[in-house]
Amino acid sequence: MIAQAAERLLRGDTDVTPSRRDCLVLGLTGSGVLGLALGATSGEPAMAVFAGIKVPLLLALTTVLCLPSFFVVNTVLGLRDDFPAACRGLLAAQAVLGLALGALAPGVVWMSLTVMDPYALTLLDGLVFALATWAAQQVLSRHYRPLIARDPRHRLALRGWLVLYVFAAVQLAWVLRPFRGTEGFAVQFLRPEALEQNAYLVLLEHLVRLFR
Amino acid sequence: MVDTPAKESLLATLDRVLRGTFLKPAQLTRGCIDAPVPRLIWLGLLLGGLYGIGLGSYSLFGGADQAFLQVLACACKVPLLFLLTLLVTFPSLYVFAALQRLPLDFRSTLRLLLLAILVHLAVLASLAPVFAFFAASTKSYAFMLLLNVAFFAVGGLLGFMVLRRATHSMFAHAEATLPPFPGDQPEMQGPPSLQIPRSPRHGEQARRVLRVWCLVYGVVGAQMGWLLRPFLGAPDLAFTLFRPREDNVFVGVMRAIASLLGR
Repeated sequence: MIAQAAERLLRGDTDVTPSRRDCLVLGLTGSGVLGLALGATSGEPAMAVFAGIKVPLLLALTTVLCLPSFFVVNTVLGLRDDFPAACRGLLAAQAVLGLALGALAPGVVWMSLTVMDPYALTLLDGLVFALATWAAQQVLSRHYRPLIARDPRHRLALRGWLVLYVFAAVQLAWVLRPFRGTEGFAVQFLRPEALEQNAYLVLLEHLVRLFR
Repeated sequence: MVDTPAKESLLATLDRVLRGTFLKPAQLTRGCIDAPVPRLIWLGLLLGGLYGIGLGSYSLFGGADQAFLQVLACACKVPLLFLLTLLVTFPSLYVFAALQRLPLDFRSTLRLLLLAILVHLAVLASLAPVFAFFAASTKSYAFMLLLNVAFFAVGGLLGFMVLRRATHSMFAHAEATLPPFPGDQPEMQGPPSLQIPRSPRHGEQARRVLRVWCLVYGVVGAQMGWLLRPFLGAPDLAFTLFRPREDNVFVGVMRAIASLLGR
């Protein structure tokens, strides 16, 4: 049943998109599997459970944070009548994001066994998320194509969503780390300094140091 | 006559504001905007207060001095910021809009601006959860200040879009339905009265005035925000309702960028 829903989600056109419940199950399960795989590489069962909770939480919380402004922007742009269709597209994209992450989980385990450098692993994790996001983008485009054809302002709303979603997701991922666990550190759900650092500032610090 | 159902909730009114129901081209051409002003003001206070709480959450999460007072002050100061900016800029807009023969009278111009401001505030309020999340997970004052500036800019752009759409539909509708402007059609008889000029040249000129006014509004609003600071409440400073006047908003923003770059 769920396998059929996944098949329809990935191959089918917008009119055969699975139900909301199926999309939620697919997205949460897929991202949970990736979380388990990431956490399990530490060899700590508790870390696997924590990461299995945190990856779906990352997707769900980011969506919840960004949805109010997406609603307001759609309404102001005069796209309110299409909002249910836009939301179906977003939900399908989230489900595909989760599914793709789940599908990449074996690759993550393989990478963990073959790559020893923790920085390289972090980069590869980023690549996994980027790949899954690209997959989600394919389905989102499929849903948005008829909407944009009807009213080009949908393109603006979609771009706004993507910018805010990525902006919030990067910081939330930083707050929710560790996903893999670090050797020599105790297993914990969140790091003690979770709410004290900003991902963008850390990145900026690295960049400034690089160019000095 | 205001076209509002007697028992309409504030949320329903907000929905109509966001959908642009109050800015129908046919009504705009007649110079009439049927918007319930008291409700719009209430909505403005609520939405501004909501974003103010989001702003104040930075001092709350950072454990700043008298954080709850800071949240309360912010919730009051955001609507005040919009009100004062409107007070400063509205008279000039009215005069220049009238010179460009926009068909809106004093009250309708004010209603149009109120609607645009409400859209700005609604966008800000919808971004409040994102701001509060960053406030909870970021210590850097400069980053939060710049995030606030970015959110205000996004809201302002959408508010400007509402104004632009209203002016556009005013002229598009007028060009299609009203008789030509005497200056462009010498054979026309009689005074132009308060009709919208049919000439596209006039429409473009009025839109240009509106763009310049929006720029002025943005600059005044930004500096007004600087005068009414603190909104976030710097973590190392004691609570105060207003800070002494110094520099200007642009210096403040440049300083924040420099601080982020570690200079």
